[in-house]
Amino acid sequence: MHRYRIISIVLFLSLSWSCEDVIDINLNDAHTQLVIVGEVNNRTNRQQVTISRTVAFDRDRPFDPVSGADVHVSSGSGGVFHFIEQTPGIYIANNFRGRENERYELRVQLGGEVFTAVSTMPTLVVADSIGTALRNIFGEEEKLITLKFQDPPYIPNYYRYLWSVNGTPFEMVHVAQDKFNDGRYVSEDLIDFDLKLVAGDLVTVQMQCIDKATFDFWNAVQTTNPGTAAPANPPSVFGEGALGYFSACAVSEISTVVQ
Amino acid sequence: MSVELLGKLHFFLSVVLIGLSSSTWGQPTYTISGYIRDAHTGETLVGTSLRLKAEPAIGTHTNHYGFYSLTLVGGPHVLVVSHVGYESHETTVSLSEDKRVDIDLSSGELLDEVVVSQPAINEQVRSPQMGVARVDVNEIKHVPVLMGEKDVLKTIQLLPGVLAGGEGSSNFFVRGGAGDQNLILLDEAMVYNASHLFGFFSTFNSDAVKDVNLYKGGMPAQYGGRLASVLDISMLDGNKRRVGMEGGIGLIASRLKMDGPIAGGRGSFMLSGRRTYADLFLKFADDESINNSRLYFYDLNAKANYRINDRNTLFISGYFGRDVMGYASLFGFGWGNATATLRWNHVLNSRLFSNTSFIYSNFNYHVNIDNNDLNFAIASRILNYNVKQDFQFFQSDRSTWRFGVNLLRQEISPANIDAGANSSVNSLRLDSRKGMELAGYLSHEWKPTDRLSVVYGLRANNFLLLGPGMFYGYDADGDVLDGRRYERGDVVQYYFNLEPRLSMSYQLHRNNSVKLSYNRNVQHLHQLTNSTSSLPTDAWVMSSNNIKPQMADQAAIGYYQNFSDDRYEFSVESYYKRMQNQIDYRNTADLQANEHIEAELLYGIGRAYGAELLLKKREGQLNGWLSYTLSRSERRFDDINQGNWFAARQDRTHDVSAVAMYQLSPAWNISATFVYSTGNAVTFPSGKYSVDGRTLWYYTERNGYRMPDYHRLDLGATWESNVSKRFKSSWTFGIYNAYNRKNAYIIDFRENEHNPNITEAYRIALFGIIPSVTWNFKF
Repeated sequence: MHRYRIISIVLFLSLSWSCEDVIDINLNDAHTQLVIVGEVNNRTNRQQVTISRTVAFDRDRPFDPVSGADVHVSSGSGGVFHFIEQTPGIYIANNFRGRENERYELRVQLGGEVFTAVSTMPTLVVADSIGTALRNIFGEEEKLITLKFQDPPYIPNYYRYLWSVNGTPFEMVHVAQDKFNDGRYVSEDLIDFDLKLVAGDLVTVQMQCIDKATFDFWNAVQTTNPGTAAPANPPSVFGEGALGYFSACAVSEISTVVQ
Repeated sequence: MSVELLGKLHFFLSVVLIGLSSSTWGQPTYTISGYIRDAHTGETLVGTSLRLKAEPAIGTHTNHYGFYSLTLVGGPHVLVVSHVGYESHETTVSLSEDKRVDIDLSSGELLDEVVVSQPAINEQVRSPQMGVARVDVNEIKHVPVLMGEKDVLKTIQLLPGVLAGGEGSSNFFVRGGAGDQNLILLDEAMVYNASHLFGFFSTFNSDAVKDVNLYKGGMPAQYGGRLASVLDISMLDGNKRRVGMEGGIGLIASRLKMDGPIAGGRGSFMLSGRRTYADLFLKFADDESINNSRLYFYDLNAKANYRINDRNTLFISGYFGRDVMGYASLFGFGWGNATATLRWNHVLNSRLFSNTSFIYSNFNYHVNIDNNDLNFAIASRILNYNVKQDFQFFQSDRSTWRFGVNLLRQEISPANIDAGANSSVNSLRLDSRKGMELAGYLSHEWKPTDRLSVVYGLRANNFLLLGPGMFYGYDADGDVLDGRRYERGDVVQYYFNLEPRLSMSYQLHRNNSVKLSYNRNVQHLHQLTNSTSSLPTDAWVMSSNNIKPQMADQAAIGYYQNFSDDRYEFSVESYYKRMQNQIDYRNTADLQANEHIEAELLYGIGRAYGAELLLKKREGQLNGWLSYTLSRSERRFDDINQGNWFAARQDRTHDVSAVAMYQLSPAWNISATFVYSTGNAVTFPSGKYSVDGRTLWYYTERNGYRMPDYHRLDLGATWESNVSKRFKSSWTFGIYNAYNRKNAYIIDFRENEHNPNITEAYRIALFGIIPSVTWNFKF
């Protein structure tokens, strides 16, 4: 985390000299790759698996749905749940709710190929308070949301935070782990530099307790920055054949009005 | 090693070596030896050539400490002593016994109007050493640089085979090697992080620098520890004749140096300091958070020497530099190097020279965070103690031996976290790692015929990784296989390597020669960085049960030609290098505060090859050089890029530098530098996809793309005036990036602000046109 702070300072310093402009770059049209994203949560009866393909960089829409896959999830306690393609590429099961500490296996069959992944839902950790905090970041007063919770000691925990501001769809803020604060009473600051919070905004935070593989996926995404020596695709639980992840996550939501 | 033991060893060696060499020729021979110094300052001169006027093939040159020794048949001889920038000097000696002759050379500061013949300045043709570049600090005085801070590291980037590490950066890459494969020595002490402010300035204050030698290949056997290059920098000893001061005030930094004699000229001292003051301007800012910020660096160089008698001289030198960055009391970040070297030069007899060095070197950084309930400190350190004993035996005018031993103890304390009592983070403590390296070498410079000369040698290197601590083994996926606790003094891992070195030249005519070289180098210290610029917070690891020593074998061939009475030098060198046990990282490797950091590493091989051309005009009103490098550097790892070869990040196909300095009048000197290079290898996405509402980039190939071409023109002008006989003043004006080229520093990709479905590439250019002015004085 300190590294990013340092990098941001360097970038800040450099930017005071530098200039930025949009340019044309010729990128190869690579062969496409399958992308599978599955999620099972403990909050609703609706679970979703998305199947798509990568598209060329200059295409308008980044989502190229893949239809006709056979998708199901089986649970460690013996349940098998089929997913039905509701809109192209979006597969839904409306008949089960995930349970903490349960092991789930996703199986996607597409033509002759089968992709599987396993995820065990972590124990739910719930924030006990939420509020607005003010921080001075490089001379600018920024409003941010702070969550407080007790991290369970002696086990690695991984968290994914999403928020919805004034009813917009949930967007991921960041992922975090307890590598440096295992077992502590944690205050987690949530901030998006592209989104300025103002007093009166209604912010709903979704706190997901995720497994390590899902953390690794999103952590790879969030730590890739222009200074990364060798940016690469985030690690996939499906191996070489497909990008993506399968996350069984324990979810809670908590809201506040920005002060 | 105790002093008594050293004394015995010295005696033993003198007896053996004298026995070995005397009366091998029929005629009686005698040895002339001594020091060569600058007449004005008493500063010893390194690499000064001494040749017989009648027979220029016979000769020698001064060593690192300005000492020479030449064994000749008895009788009268005329010796020509020459050094770049000095008037050649002729000395007549009549040898009927061993003689000690110290020679003072006058510097050629006013030589522009005088035609000087320099008959023996064809060292580059004659010397058996290849792949070496010597930078004369006076020579680089006029080279224009960023913000007017003259900088040896930025000047060597203009030489063939040396690539700049990015816009304005003092990092450099030699012959396809990585940044951590350069051995950077300041008065023999290792400098781990040779830059300030994240690379924009080097740690070497050129006021304090005497001599810079860069070995790109065929490294002599006395050097070891890194694969790609040795950059050997010596500090000035200080004026032995009178006290002097010099300094400068520039846009971002000021410098002050003082030197002078001690003990009535038996010794001298030099003190030099530099500090930037960008942060002083921050104080004027209205904004409290900005004027509370700290951002500066400073350097201190100090050196003193004392001549005990004709045979013994002591030197003590040190460097201390620090970068400081901070924001009120919330955030503090500091890092820096400290080195100290104690040396004893001992002339055992006219032909046997000894140097004993005790060296200390330390690099550390710390971070302090104190923000509400988040308060902790991070600290990390690399520390080494190094003892070196080197002997140089001048057997005859055709044969010089060097041999010695080197004991290096290195300790790496990885980043530890100390959390405050009420902090929301935990303290974290990782085992430090201790390593011991014992190396011995023997090297022989030999001239079997008038045309052929050879330096060959062997370095034997023992590396021991020592306890205490927990050491783990990992499987191919990076999962822990086993762990074992070692106690203090236990040997965890032992490596023994032999490193053969060879460099030879065959002189075709007086003005041209061909050279060959081969070297094997082994490296036990590895810097782990997964960002494009190396940061002070990068982790360092030693060879271990998991990490095998990096190894490189390099073969090179070259052709050297001097033109027009040695006024022009031309050389072309071509090399092929094979590297083993190269290090890269797993996807999403966690390189910070990670007990299992070695599990994140991948091992592969590398190859680099290229050709380097240099045309240099070394004297006259107009001088400078033109350099061109054609090169390729590739790596192969089983788990990266589907196991295919890929271009290393520092791979750059074409690289051209032109440096010109013109003495317009006695007062005015103008200069220009132009650089052009094709782009570095870089990884760009070849597609995109959407996950949970986010657009992610799809990468298919490591370093499969190229950055755009880079080019830049820098201009400089210096106006010198003598205010009085003693007080000199000069103004240096510079323009960096004179035609304001927007060279891409970073190219990144983003969603269009207005339509998130459209993705676009954008470029960040770091420095546009930057003028600078510096006022320098000297008295």
